[in-house]
Amino acid sequence: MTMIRLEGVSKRYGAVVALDKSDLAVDKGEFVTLLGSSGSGKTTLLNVIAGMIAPTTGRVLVDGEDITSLPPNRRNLGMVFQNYALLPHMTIFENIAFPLRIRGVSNAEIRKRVMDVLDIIRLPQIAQRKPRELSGGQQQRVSLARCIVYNPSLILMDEPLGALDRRLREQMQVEIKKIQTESGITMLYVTHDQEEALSMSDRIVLMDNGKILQIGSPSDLYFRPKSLFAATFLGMSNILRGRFTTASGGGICLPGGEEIRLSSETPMTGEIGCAMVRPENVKLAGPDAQPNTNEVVGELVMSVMLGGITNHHVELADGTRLIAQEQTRIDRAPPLRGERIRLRWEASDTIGLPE
Amino acid sequence: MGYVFLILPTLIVVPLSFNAGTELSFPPTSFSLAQYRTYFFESNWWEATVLSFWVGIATMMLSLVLGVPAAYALVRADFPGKKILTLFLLSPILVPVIVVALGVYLYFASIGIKGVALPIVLGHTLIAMPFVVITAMAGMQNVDRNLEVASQIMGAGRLLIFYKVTLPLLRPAIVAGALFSFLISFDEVVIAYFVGRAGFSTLPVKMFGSIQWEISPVIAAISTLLTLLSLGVCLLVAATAKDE
Ligand SMILES: Nc1ncnc2c1ncn2[C@@H]1O[C@H](COP(=O)(O)OP(=O)(O)OP(=O)(O)O)[C@@H](O)[C@H]1O
Ligand SMILES: [Mg+2]
Repeated sequence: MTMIRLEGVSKRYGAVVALDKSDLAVDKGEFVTLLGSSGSGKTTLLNVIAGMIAPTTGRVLVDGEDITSLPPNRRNLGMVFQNYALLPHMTIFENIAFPLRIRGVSNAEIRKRVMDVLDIIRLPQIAQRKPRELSGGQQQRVSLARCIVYNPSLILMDEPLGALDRRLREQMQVEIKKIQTESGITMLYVTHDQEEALSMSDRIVLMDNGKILQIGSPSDLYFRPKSLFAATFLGMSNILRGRFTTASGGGICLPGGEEIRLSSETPMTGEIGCAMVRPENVKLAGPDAQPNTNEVVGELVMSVMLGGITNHHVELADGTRLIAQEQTRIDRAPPLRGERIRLRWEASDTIGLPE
Repeated sequence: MGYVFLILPTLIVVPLSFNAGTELSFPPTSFSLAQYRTYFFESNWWEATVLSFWVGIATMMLSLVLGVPAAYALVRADFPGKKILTLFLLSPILVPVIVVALGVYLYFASIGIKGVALPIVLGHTLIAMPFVVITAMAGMQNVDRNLEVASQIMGAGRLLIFYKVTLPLLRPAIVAGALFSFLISFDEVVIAYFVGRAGFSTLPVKMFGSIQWEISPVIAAISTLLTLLSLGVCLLVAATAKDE
């Protein structure tokens, strides 16, 4: 069931297009992330939904009802801010009770519901404290509790973990995701951190320059990017430029003459394009390896050991650099710098992308 | 050092106020609380003090009721002519008090209200409100706009947000503005002199009149008390500011 639907929503400021015409549907109970670099229009999209910004065109529907012209306080949405936005003059209890008081909930009911959500965020003992007496992570949990408590149709979160250090951020990601799954809340989450987006989302909305570029599950976006931007934005990628051919069911011909086979047919025969393969799919072929689907030869520039994995950087004759990622092995001597290396990968792991 | 030199004349009234006798004399020749006794019990000074007090309270209320929402609107709202309106609201600070006093006097004379407390209160509000506006505008810097946005999304209407979120956060600024506007009115002599009438003097006006005719030593006692009051108010403001 669709909880929220955007139809042709756009926002311009004079000549600046903050958000190009966008369509988006989020299902009930879904966790959807807006992912994009700074200035890509994420906050604008969120604020249009929240009602803080009036869209230039388009409609916003919640539960099938057009809310485009409703003021923010009548939309029954929740929002979590990067700087927590807890009311500093109220106790935690009063902060969480605030939306309930606005809704005229009885005192007994308020007590019960506030204590319930404090249990959910696992901070039952802090009800009488003031926000400034809490750590950043605790404040952000309270801020989430303050949304959950009045059961909004959708919770919007604008880089909620941006102010926390890496360790805490990872804990909070797990925590938020857990609360979201258990309570079945619909969430629209904004981040520019790709790992955060990949680890938490049911679906990711990739944005750039005010446009929605691709919407899909994390693995869709990671393994089946539809554009060079998507391929390079998420994770590490190896890009080989060449000219599309139809030979052997979809391929790309590199300047050096090697042919790279792709996972699917390409409709753009003859045009300049790219083949993309993820580093973890590229293998260092030993001297006795069987000839495989895609193969290039280059020179080892360096090997970087990152604990469990090692990245081998290989430069091809035309200057293209590829990375092959392997599990670190101590029982085998690493290749030497300058050594000639043969890299191989499956055609099924190779995506053809327009330039 | 220069500062000490400047406040010395202010402090000189302190020893004078403890002198007995019916004339101001320096150096003091005796120690007594006679002047204070006269002030509190034996003269109509106390009447003037009570009037000043109520004028001060009324000025404070009016300045707050007008100044705080004005400051809020000036900081939050976005409309053409905002800068000019700000300047206009603050302009009484820039104009010499005597000009304001004359204006207030002529204005009330022309509409026929004369010699009651109301014109004094209105005149004082004119010069006190800019201070409330300035302190409240400064205070608004500490009111995170996100708090208001968050409250709005949670379902609060504008009025509720103003009362439950903005005002409590502005409290230190409001306390400071309230105390200062009271003090400005309580100490003010020019406007009160112009628009007041005989037998209806505020404390500073009565002091001013008394200096012109006979220099009563009670004035030293009153001056000492006024200095203490100002000092107390400043300390109070500093204390509430630190509190938050
Ligand atoms: N009030 C405004 N007036 C003019 N341009 C604006 C305004 N608000 C946003 N923009 C522009 O719209 C674009 C999108 O801004 P937005 O805040 O949505 O980006 P974002 O994706 O949230 O970025 P970030 O990750 O930095 O928060 C930016 O180029 C920004 O400069
Ligand atoms: Mg943003």
